[in-house]
Amino acid sequence: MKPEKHISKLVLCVPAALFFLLISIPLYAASSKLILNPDLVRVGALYNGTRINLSAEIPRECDVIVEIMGRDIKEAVVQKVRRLGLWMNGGEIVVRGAPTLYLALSSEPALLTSPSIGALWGYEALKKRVSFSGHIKEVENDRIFKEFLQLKESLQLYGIFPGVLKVSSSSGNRSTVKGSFTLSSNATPGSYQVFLSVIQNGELLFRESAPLKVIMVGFPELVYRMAKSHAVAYGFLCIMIAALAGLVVGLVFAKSKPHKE
Amino acid sequence: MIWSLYSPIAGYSVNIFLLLGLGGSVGFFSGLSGVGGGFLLTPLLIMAGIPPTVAAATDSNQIVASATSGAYAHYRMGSVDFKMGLLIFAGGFVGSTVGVEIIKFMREVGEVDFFIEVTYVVLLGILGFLMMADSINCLLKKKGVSGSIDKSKKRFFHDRLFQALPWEMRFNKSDVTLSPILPVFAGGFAGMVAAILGVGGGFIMLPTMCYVLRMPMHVVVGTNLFQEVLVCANITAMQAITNHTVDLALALILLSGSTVGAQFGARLGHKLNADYLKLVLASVVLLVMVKILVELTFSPDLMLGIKGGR
Repeated sequence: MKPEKHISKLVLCVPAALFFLLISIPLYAASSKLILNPDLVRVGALYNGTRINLSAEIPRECDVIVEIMGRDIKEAVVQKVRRLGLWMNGGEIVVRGAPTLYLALSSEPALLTSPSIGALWGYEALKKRVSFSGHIKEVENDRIFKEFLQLKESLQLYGIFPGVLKVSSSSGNRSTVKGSFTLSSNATPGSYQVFLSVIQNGELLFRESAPLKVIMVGFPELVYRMAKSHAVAYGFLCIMIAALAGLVVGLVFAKSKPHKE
Repeated sequence: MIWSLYSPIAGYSVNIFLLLGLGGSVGFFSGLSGVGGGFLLTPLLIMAGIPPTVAAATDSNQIVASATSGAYAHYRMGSVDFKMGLLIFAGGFVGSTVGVEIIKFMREVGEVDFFIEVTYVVLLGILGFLMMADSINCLLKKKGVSGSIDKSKKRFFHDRLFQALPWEMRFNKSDVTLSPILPVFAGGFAGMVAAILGVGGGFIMLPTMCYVLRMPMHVVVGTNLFQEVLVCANITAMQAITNHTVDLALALILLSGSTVGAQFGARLGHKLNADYLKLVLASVVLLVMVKILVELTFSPDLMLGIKGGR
């Protein structure tokens, strides 16, 4: 091989390598590895919700919003109405586009509380996605949305937590963001997504997500699977267990206490 | 918090000690006063956050355990009229099946929680006032024979009407001759109420057996417990198949509390004044009724609810 050929290859490779390096630096700067601990939640017999820690590396002088979301579902809710002095269920409203779970956490409180910036994330952003139909007038949308949020918050399925994420400076031009959130026991087993939005000067720099899975294990999983898939066998099993338990208690106490005719 | 029980059917966590306490105290009161605890346990479970449909269905399941325990004790004493019990159950089977279908329908129209709560207000109100009046009456009399029901043998119009019913049968254990229509009909009504409310139906069947069927007191309690086992077993099966609302995990904790509590209650009951105990139980029943009534009357915190319950 001629030395000129080596030189010409080198001449081509060096700028190419430099080009890829130049491209990857901003790509690296605009990336973050979102880590959830745990990212798989096991719902066992003694489960009462769980605390999930999250951490990520982000570019310096950026703010962060983390959203934990379930899949969008069509859901029927009923309005409370007063009839004959008693509060009962009234007209049915069908809710579309509302996620089963929505939790939003931010490093800068204003990102979720300020009406101007908050419109991009949090409840204001959610409001744009959710639609209502059924026993509702157009003018009632705002009120119903507020009441829908109250219902979901009471079940600990929706929540806004401004300023709970802590950003600390890390090596070089990177910062570390850390935080945690509680996943309520009301959150049904299934797949959830955790979205991390990195914001610089009020503008979205990039967004990435990580999956969060909730699965039922052990006794609850057995009970749930039997109750839903083998209802007849499950019903008879419940009866047999209860009858046997009653008989055993009856026998134990009958032995310890003589009966009087 | 490790001391929580996850209810897979309700999709909700409840403190185990709260469940044991509820089961135990209702069983204790039940053993103390001699009345079934189903009518008290379901509303208490609702207050603990369990959806009404799950609370009622699961309570039926745990009544199978407590009624089996009691029925077995009465069977040993020879105080169960199986023939009568099976006839009551025949009605109860139909009634409880209808009751489960009513729950299914109310769930579909989105009124099940309201329906169960209103029925409880009426039931607990009547029961609480009757118990309180009875205990005050007994306390005022003082010299009267406590713990026995005055069973008048006087024949009223309804007695003559019942005697006119066809297909009279002889019930040797109860020493009565009557038409099977009566126990079947009474069982049907009690079974329907039992399915809707998750109770044993003893509060309907006990006075019916005493005053309508004219059964002697010594076979009334045992026969009622026997039919409760069968009716509640049917309700459990129906609720499990039709509504998928029976929670075995919840029922196991409740029945372990209630069966043991009932035995301790029964032992203490012999040492204490029954009328004062009945007064305490009546107060608890009325308090629960008032709590549910207040929730139905005052503006709710949430103006929206999930259709069909959680």
